[in-house]
Amino acid sequence: MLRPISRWDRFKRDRFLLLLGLPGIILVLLFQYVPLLGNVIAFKDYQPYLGIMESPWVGLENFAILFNGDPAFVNALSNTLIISFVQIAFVFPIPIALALLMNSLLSERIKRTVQSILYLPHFMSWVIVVALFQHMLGNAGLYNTWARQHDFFQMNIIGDPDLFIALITSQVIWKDAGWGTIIFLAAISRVDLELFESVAVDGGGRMRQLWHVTLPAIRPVIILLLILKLGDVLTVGFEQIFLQQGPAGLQASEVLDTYVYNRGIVGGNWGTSAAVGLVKGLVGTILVLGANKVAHLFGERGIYSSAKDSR
Amino acid sequence: MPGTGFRSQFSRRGFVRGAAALGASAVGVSAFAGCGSDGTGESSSSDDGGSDVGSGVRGGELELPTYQRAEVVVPDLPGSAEGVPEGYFSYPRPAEPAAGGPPGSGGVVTAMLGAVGPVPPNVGQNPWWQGLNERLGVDLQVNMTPVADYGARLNTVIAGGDLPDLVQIFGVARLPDVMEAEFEDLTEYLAGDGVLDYPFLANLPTVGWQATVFNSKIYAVPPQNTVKTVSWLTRLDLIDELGANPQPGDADEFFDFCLDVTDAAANRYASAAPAEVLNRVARAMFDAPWQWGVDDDGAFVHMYETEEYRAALEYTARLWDAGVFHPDSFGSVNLLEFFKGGTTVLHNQGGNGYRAILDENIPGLRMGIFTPPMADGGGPARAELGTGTYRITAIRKQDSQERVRELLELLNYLAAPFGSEEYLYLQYGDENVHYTWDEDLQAPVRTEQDGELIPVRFLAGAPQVFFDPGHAEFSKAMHEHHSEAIPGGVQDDSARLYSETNDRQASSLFQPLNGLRNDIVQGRNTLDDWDKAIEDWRASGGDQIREEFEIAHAEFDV
Amino acid sequence: MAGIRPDTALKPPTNGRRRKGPPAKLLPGVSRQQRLQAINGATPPSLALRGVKGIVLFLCCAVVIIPFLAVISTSLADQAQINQAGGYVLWPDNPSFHAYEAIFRGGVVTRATLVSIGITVVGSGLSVTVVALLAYSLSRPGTWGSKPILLLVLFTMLFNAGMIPNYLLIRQLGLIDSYWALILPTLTSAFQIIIMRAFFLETPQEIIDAARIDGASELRILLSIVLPLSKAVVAVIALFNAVTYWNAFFNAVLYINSTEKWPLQLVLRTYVVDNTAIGVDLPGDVVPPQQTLQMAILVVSLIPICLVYPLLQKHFAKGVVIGAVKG
Repeated sequence: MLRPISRWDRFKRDRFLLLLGLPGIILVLLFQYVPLLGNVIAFKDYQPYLGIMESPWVGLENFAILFNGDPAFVNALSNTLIISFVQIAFVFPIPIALALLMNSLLSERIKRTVQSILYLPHFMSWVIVVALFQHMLGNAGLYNTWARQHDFFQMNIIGDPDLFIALITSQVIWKDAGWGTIIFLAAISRVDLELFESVAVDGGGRMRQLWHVTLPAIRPVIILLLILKLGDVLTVGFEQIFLQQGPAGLQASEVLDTYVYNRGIVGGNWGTSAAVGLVKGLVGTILVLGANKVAHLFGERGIYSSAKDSR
Repeated sequence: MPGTGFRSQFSRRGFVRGAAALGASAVGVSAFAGCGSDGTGESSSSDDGGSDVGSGVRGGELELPTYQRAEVVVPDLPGSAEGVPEGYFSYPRPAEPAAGGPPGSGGVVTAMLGAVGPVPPNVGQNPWWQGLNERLGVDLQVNMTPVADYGARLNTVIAGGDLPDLVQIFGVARLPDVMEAEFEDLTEYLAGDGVLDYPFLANLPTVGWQATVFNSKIYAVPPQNTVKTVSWLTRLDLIDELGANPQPGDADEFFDFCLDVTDAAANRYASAAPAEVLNRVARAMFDAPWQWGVDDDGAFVHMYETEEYRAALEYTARLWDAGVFHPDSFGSVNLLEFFKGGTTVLHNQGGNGYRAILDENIPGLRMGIFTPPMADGGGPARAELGTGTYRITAIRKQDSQERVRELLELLNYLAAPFGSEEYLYLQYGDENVHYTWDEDLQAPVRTEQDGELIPVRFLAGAPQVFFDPGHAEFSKAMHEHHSEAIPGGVQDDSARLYSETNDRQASSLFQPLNGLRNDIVQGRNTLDDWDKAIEDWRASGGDQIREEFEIAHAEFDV
Repeated sequence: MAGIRPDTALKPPTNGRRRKGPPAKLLPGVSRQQRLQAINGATPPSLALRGVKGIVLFLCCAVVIIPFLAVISTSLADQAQINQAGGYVLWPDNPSFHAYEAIFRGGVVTRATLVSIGITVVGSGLSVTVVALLAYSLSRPGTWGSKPILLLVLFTMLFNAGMIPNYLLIRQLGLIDSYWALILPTLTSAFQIIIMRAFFLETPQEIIDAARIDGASELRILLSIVLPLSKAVVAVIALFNAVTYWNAFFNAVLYINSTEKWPLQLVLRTYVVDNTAIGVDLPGDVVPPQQTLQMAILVVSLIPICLVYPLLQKHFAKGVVIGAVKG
């Protein structure tokens, strides 16, 4: 056994490797961290004409919007969490399933065509997606108009508060499921074919290949994305929801971001915006790091492996 | 003055329009929920501010710019200083120059504005822009930002200290302080008869100038908008066909009208804008104030607190329940398309926007104008009025008075009135390039080249007029409608007052109420919830705003 | 090439499996596709399964295509039909390209398209390079400082700066009205760095160790071993970046003064004015652009991305054979 190597030795050993990363590190520091200093306005009554330095300090006043115990806030927070977890449960797995499904197609041409079609909605803005959904499924939309004329089952999807979560979840699926397959397809494309071959040689069917080869192979990526997703639990599609609050009503549709927007930011309260961002970031950090720890406990790599383990 | 409780006077405290409401786009969010105009203009005092009186009203230390009509052409239908637009049946020809030479003396003038619609080609590839620079005698560099993002842009530019010379102002909070810190006080140039040095600015109806006053000083120039911000257009063709009464006389008749024109099976509804019907029809019918109202004792009340509004809310909820609104009304619907296609029979349209409908010449479409009646049948209800201003344009602090005067001259040029050669160029461009002359209509008709024109009228522009080539009858009807509505209209009595609480909290106080209001209309909540919400609203700041308005009002109502 | 001489003393023992032939020996002659087909052919799916799969995918595609059809049809429809339908039409009765002609009139859109293509190409090229370099330097286990740097990167995903501090920075750097203001701030993305690093980690350590012992420099290892084995993720990151740069407009709102430097999405944004966003705030004589125009714009903005996708797509499908390096 060799004696443990010192930090300095490691630095010397890795200096060329670090040099490769330097441009990226500089860009991150310059374009991400320097502006982050501006978040000091979370503790100020910031006004652009005064500037960051001149704006008066207000202590924690800007955070009050998150800790005032307003029942509407509690409702918004609970809606946010429910929507987040519903989406993690129902939206997150769909691109994986879709990727596996597409991967199992024999014809390369069909595979590519399907892919190309499914990724299209990703490029539509929410304004248009919401309008399209309404045009198709609204109470006077194509479906219900047709159903009314043919005495068929009518669905009040858009205006029903009870269906709000289902509505926005299906919109998210429609818009981004196809796009979401891309990373998983990339991961699948790296699977070691010898493993498939050995399963096939052992007489294993396609399900066994899927279960014993493909899924384990893409598991690290799945877990990584899941952990990163947790960092966003307090953020659910602001624009999408904001556009649809009218028909669904506030009780069902108010989420953290819309609450803060409606109550604080509209009036030019920059400090509030920064304060809310900080709190959300903090919560996200705790969740991401926590989830990463949990992943380590289960022997997964997570975001960062404890580097020395793998060496 | 009918409809308002006090005269136009000004105090030291000054008067802010709903800066908070204007701040809505500051976060860079492009789209707003709700329907029709239910977006930014909702949080209490919006652009629908106060209107007032004739020329050169004196008050406190400030004298508003004197109104003096620029006698360039004679209108077919007269306008008024209160904001009734003039009407024309044909375009005056030949158009005579009304300004004396270029206002500028070389050099560069920078400007920024929020653009609606496609941006024109840059000056290098834009003969119209080059022509404009020649006329103005300066190199005018206009920075255009999509209107939805303008607030974000303006705030960053202020933060960076990069303001151009001429700045369209909206989407910024704490306007009185911003104005004082960043922009020229124009009082000494424009107050009273001072404005007569700039005849086309003096030609702007007095009502519009009130939006430019902050801390008792004039800080901006008001591009014109119609004072009566919204008109209710009707599909007369459909109404006649269905045998409905086109001008219901009271609340019950209006209810019947809505029922008569609605046929869900035929995908036809009275309206697709319930919040607008509530605020601009039902509210008027039951005679609630418009936003904040003040009584003779100087006591302020917000429309939401009144029994009258409660009745209007209940009435609108019954309308919703009766199914006369398009069922997707609270979603993102295209109101204009609905109206043109006959899906809706009533349509709330801003100012002169009806023109686009006329221009389309839709077969069979015949438009009328609906005046909401008093609920009890006591004649026409009192319409709500705005400030007659579309945004305002301020001048960044300059090095010399000469420079300020030059910039005012330039804005003056841009405000050249209808009928002048300058107006023709600013609005239509060069003949046979950007427009052609239509002998039958006696009007210029825009060509495809007109994409070169830049919307400088958002910086300063002539008073709006009714001029609808080929539709003189409708111009007449519109003119008559405005002439009747404006003298008896109600204004937001807080529009010229400053309340710090309102400035900071208007949105957080009013947004929940607006949401609840929509829920009540849809039958999801009850009027009891409304009463409770109003209690909360009072306790959490509503009363505070009221008190501040009352103090501000008392201060100068002496 | 300034290669580092791998110091074997600093290397942990690798159980004697030190050198195993040349790095990344790819199977000659047989493509991954052929092998896959061979495997699949050995275990054909049942007819029922294929049927179900077919139906599911068909439905997925239909659900996506119908609204798209509506978008395209609406962009071609005449106003009368749109009025009648209340916004969208499923099939244009009298198709015309009016809206498209209107968009391309005056050359503003054409110019902006070129600007956008330039920004997208330069931006995604640089971005993939920077992200790959950083991801690689963080992907070698035990690298000095790699964990703190990774956390540093991760935090930028969780905390965001407001637009004003960003503007002040760009201003301080003298980048206002420069194309670089549209490229540099979004060059690095924490998400992309983390994803790419995760893929790089999958590169078998043996190959890299072998190359090090052969005296290959880190850059050489990245270029000739890690990247070829990670073509798929490189293509994915390139696509992500291309899409980000192509769709970005807000930085241009803030940082670009001259309209001739506007990217396509910002120009198009001026056409798509949401009725409800502005309402009575508009002066009375301004009417938002028509539905046909808005839909045509959507179609125009989609086309270039539709063209790029197939070029990158083949890399997701292909992948690389890693199996050659076995102990």
